[in-house]
Amino acid sequence: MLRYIVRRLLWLIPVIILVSLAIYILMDLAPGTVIDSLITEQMTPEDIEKLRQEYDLDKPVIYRYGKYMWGLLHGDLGRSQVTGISVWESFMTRFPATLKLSLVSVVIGTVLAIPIGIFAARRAGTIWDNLTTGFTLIGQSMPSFWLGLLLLIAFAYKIQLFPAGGYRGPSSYVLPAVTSALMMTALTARQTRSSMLEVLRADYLRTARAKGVPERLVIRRHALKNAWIPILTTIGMGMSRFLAGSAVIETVFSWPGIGRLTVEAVSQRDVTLACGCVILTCILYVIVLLIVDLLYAFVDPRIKAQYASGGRRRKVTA
Amino acid sequence: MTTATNVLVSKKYAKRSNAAEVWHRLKTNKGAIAGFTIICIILAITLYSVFFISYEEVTAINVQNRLQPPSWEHPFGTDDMGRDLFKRTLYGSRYSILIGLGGVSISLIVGLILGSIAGYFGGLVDDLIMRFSDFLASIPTLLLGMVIVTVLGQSLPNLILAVGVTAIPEFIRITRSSVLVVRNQEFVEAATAIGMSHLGIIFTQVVPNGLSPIIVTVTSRIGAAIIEAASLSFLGFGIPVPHPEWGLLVSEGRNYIRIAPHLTYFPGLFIMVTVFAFNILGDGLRDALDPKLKK
Repeated sequence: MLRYIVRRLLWLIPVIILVSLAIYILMDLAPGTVIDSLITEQMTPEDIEKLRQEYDLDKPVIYRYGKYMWGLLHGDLGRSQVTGISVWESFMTRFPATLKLSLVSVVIGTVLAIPIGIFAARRAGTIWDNLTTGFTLIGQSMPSFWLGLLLLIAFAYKIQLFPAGGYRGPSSYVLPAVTSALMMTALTARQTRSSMLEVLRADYLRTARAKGVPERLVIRRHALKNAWIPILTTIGMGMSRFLAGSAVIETVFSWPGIGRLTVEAVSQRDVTLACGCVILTCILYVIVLLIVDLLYAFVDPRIKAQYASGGRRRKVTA
Repeated sequence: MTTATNVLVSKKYAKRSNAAEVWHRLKTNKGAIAGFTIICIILAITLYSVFFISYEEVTAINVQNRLQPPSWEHPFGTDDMGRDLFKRTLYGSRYSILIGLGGVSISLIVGLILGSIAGYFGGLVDDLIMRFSDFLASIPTLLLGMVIVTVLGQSLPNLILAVGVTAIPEFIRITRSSVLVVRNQEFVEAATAIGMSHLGIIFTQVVPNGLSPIIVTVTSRIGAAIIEAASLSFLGFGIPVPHPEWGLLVSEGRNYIRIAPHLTYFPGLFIMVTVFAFNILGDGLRDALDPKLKK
């Protein structure tokens, strides 16, 4: 198991190198530079030239990238070219807000989704099943920013129940967390329904019922346990998506998280900050997916056995 | 027994071709029919807007009319520049349709080629392609889209490219795994025996037989691509103003959310209905193509 974890973490190294290479050089080649916003009309060409030298813009892109990578090798992500604050610090001051919001949303989403999914699967083919399936499909089809804005109109402006944005106190969590939780519920409930359906037809469930196991336990202990893997995958994907792609919801609710930091960095052409944010987000993303993979071993003894038997590379499944 | 009934019976139980069987199952799937109908309506709206609504009409500023609530004259109200939101929304359908179809075509073509090569040849080629796919997949999609649009500039083709590139890994994986299933079957061996070339085998034998999961992914990815593009536009990394792209319309409406919430309602509703249609069509297709998965 340890070997597997180490291998997955080592995989991050080529990812970071390629990501930084791609993002740094691409953003550098993009029209416009970070100093565009610093140049004023009073500046003489000499002043501009001085500014360009200050940002190494007079040297080739390879030089800037080399300098950046040299820092990265020493664990230094550099400083934001706009604010001058170190990238690590800017990221870490914003990270807790995103992490807290993601955790709250994932908990709400999961707590809602699994019972809904089981409910629909047990009544497969009935009107209740069709209704829940319809709702989850609608939920999946809504853009998250639109759902967020609708909730904002309803619960912050029409009925002034929750603050319209910002990051102050528990009540400010409600709207953004509910928005992302609902997006996640739609996906996870659908996944729960379909993986429960597959399990519900299994012979061992008939055996369990024939033995006289109460229905409640049949569902919880025999069925759900075997349906966990795809459900867990969906939850993990939801979590990593929030951590990484929360930019939209953070923008709607003026949430000071890493998603908005990245958006700001990219739009200000702050190459160092943008590159650092993308690298750190990729690391987070890979780590969350790794944790999900490791959780499989806890819910499914068969996978645990696979890890134990020498850590052979697991086949990539569809 | 009359011949007439015999004909009827044999017609009823005649072995249908595979495609006819799928078509029959699709026809009886209410969700798929509903999705297909909605998509046709949206395509009709798009066609109408292409012929009857001009770009000048939806971008001309008319400040006296600004921020009017919905009325008979302006069914969706007017925006902050006094432009009719109804016409702007109808005009905007073309962007989402183009992005959905165009983006998915890009990911489909690249994914199909790389995925089938990886699955068919295996070995080092497979490893290289899959590592490339893993690499692409480990960059969060929205971030990748943002960077691509920033680098290439804000425009429709670049947005299509951005949305297309982010879905490539998914198509590589799907194609590869269905190719892996088909590759070792006897008819592929037979094709090798009669001396077909690798490329010929891939595109005439392997891919067509592993097509169903790919078709399903295409349909549901169209919806996801539309949402992704709208999100990018919403964040300011999509089509530039004043183009009435739906995500951009919602983003513009957001500034007047207190006094004119209708600016937010309608374009978002259009996004939702369009994506919903593609999603239920995809669901129906999955059930029709793979009856084992159904219920």
